[in-house]
This record gives sequence, structure tokens and C-alpha cells, in this order.
Amino acid sequence: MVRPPAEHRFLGLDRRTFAPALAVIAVALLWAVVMPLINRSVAYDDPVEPGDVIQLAPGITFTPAEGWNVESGLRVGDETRSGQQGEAAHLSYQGVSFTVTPGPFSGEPEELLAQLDKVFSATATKEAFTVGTDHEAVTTDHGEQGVVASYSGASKSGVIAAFVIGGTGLSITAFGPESSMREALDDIADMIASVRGEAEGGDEG
Amino acid sequence: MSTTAAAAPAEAQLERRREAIEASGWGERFKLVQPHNLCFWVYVVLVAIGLLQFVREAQHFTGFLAPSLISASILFALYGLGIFWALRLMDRYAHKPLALVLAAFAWGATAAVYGIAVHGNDANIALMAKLFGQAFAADWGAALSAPFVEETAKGAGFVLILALAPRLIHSLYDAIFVGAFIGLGFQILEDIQYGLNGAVAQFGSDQFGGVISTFLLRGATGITSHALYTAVFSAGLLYAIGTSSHRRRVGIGLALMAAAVLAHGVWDGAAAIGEGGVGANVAMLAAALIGWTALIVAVRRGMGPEREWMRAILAPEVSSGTLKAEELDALVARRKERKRFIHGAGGHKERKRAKHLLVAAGDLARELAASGGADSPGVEHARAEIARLRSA
Repeated sequence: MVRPPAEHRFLGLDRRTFAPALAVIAVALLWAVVMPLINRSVAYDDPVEPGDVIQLAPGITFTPAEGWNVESGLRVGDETRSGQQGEAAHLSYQGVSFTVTPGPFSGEPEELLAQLDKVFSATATKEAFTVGTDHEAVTTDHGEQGVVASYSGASKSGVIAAFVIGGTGLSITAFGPESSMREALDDIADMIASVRGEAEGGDEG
Repeated sequence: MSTTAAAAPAEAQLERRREAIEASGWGERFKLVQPHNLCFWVYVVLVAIGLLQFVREAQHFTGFLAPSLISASILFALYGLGIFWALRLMDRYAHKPLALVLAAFAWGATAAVYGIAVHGNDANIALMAKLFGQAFAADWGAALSAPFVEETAKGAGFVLILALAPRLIHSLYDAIFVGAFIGLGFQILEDIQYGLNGAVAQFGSDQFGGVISTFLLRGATGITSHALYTAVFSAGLLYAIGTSSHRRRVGIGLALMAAAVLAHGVWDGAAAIGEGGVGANVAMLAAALIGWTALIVAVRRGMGPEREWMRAILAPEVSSGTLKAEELDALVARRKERKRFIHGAGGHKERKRAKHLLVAAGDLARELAASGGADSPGVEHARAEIARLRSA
């Protein structure tokens, strides 16, 4: 191991290597620290307006509760150049999260709920959510049939629902601190009840 | 064309050989552990952070979702090995030391993806959704974030490795290959992540199916991906920084970096640019065209010094009769001329022999570089191999 020349030495390091090292540190800090900090400093300000409908997948929608904030998800009428027709939606309201995730699934809602239990148990991080055994059948205003159950973690509780509409499964989770959940329960129930599937050329039910 | 007659190598030729070995850095060894080099510590810390983040991600896939992690890892590792091997074969002048390319690959697979890029992309895309709306973020989020975040994250690794191995990386050709290995590391880990996402997207109901469909899609389109972008971006960085072989040319450097970012951006934004369907495919084709054109330009510019070094190192072997002038000409020529030389050798047997002779001549050049031009056992063996092939 050769020591750097005395005139280039600083704390045992070769000063000539500082410029590239500092440039790399700057890049890493910019993307891994500065941009996330800027992002966190900008709040979501996209409240649901009357008449808004969230598009989850082609022909599958739900009506979000007024005043909730849309953190991700496309509204019906949001025109994308790519022609994308829907995606997962994430809404929030006073600490409560409401997430609807569509995906291919060919089974019954009960089977989907069992799958979700396994996936959430495997992928859980801090909260380690588990699906309760109190499964209840639920029918939306449009006639979609699903299943709903309690959903609880270490510090938060909530509900989970599963629907299967024409080969598309919907995972719906809503959770938050208990006090906030109590306040949001009606909105959550309304949003679940608003799930609607319409195949091209008519209702799918 | 080389026109030296068979005789003892002239001292001037041997001197040029020594200069070429010195200038090229061929035969130099790579030592990653350099405690006096701050770049070593930055490399270690960021690779460790990336690795830790990957392990945290992978932990979610050890129970019920383990089949997706195992199948995605095996499929994409095999795919990566294939490209790794192909890149090693394409590196036809002085093969980069394995430790060097593994260090490059490791940066791409850990620090660049998990240490830097995931955080930057998540933040940028969320910020775009907040500022410009969800539809804008869905269309342009990836295209406007990933090329800048990911190319600079991977390029940062190139800067570190350049500072850790300045004697080994100083030509455009070196930059292209080291960049390609960084990009390959990034690509494989990103592919595994997409495979896992594919399995979760189906609620874990068909984990193998989800991984395999991702593998087919990413595998088929992988030729225009991170290995290509980073090869071009690193070539640009080398020009922008300047080395002993290439004087600093900021304009060309920036142009190459911009080409890599543009190709990456057009690829990621293809659906929005082409408005879906056929238009998206046309946009992807345009991205591939931009990326590959930039790479070809860089490779053509980069081959000059490598060829000159190869010629200078082997010229004394022509004088001593180990090699023929036309063999050396073919060895340093472009692919087309090399093929012409092989096809002109005669029948099938002669063509095979000519091909093997060129491989053996390349081996001799590398042995000479490793020995500093001296007649080491490796050099003698390489010469004997040439003689054996010639008499076969």
C-alpha cells in the first residue's frame, strides 16, 4: 500500500481523489435525500370534488368520498396520451389510507381475500397486517359481489375487501388510527359500495 | 499495412511495444481496496447501503412469495450471465480484469438501483403527480425521471471506478465496456424487481406465470436497456473528464451523455410519445436507433487507440516471424476486414485455422502486456500455440 505524496495527503487520504468522490456523493445526496425531502415538503392537494369517479381498469370504477385527497390514481376524464385506462388508486383523509389495487385474478372473492391475506402477511413491514376471520359478503350499489373483513396491524386497524369483476381482482384496504377510522367508516363503506364494473357493451354485474 | 520482413525485432519496435504496454494499461491488475482513495470508501458505503436495501426488499419474498423471488433470481441471473459472457467476448482487445468488471456490475446492481435510483424516482414521480396531475405523472413520470436519475446514478459508479483504476480505464473502449457492466448489473436487479412486481400484481396467485411473462418481455427488449445506455453515457463521461488517451472534449462528451439520456427517456415514454399501440412501438424503435447509433459512433471512435496498441505490441512478433503481417493487419482490422481475411484463407479447415490464429495472436498480445513485453512462460506458450496452429 503506497502512501499518497505528502503534498497531496489529507488525513491519510489522497486529496486528488476528493473531486470524483465528492461529485458522486453529490449525485447520491441529490436523488436519495434532497428530492425525497422536497417531495415530502410538498403536500398532496388534490381533493375529491363532487362528481369525481376513479378509473381502476377498463370499465371498473369507484366513486371517491368528497374531501379525500387523491395521492395516486386516475379519474374518469383524465386523458392520458398513452391511453392508459386506470391504475391503482390511493386516497387519504386525516391519517386514514384507502387503497384500491386492480390485477388479473380468476377466482371467487373469498379466494382473492385468502390470497391477499398471504401476500400481506409476507410483504408486511412495520405494521404486519392480518386479515380477520369475520368475512362478510358484500354487494355494491351496482350489484358487484365481494367479501369484506376486518384488517388489523400493530397500531392501526381497518377493513379489507375483495371483488372479482370479469377476470380483474380488486384489493381494497382502508386503515388508520382507530379514532380516525371511526370517523371515516361511513365514507369507506360508501366508496366500497360504489365499486362498479361495466364490460364493453353492457353491465357485467 | 505492416511490411516488416522476418528478422530480429528492431530495438525501435521493442521500444514502441514497451510504450504501448505502458500507455494502454493492458496487463495492469485491478485492486479495489485502496484505503488512501476516498472513492474506495464512497464505493463501499454506497454499495453497502444498496445491498442492505435490496436485502430488506427481498425479505418480503421469503415466505409465501418465495417462489417468485427464486424463479426471478434464477431466470434473470442466467440471462445476465449470458449477456456478461457476450460482453466479455466482445471485449476483444485487452480483456478487463474480472475483479474490475465485477466491481462495475456490483455498483450497478446495488448502489445505483437500491442506494440511489429507487429513492430519486419515487420522489420525482410523486412530485410530478402533485405539481402537474396524475395523468401527467402516469404519462411522463418515468420518462422524465428515470433517464436523469438512473444515468447519473450509474455514471457515478463509472466516475468512482475510473478514479480507482485510472491506468486500466483511459480509452473510450474501456469506458464503453465498464459502463456496459455497470448497466448490466442495474438491468438484472431491476428485472428481478419487475419480476417480483409481476408476481404481486396477480395477488400471488400465479407467481411463476407473473415472473415468466415479465422475463419474456424484459428479456426480449433487454438489448436496448441499461447496458446500452450506460455504455454510451460512460463514453460521454470519459470524453467530458478526459484521460491520458483522450483529451477532454466536453462537447462530444455531453452529446454522448445526452444521447444516452434521450434514448432512455424515449424508451420509457414510448407509450405516451406514440399514444399507445403501434405508435409506442415506433417510439421504442426510435429509442433503440438513438442508443445504438450513439454506441456505434463511440465504438468507432474508441477503436483507434486499441488497434494502434495491439499493432505496436505485436509488430516485433511479425519481425521475428511468429506472426505474418497480414495476420496482424486482420487482427487490428474492423470486423468486416477480419471476416474477409478468414474467408480468404481457403477451405473450411483453413478458415477455421485462420480464425483460431487470430484468437491465439490476441492471447499473445495480452500475455506480452501482462509480462511487460518480456518472454514469460505465458508468452512462450502463446507463441507455441501459434506455431502449433500454423502447422496443424
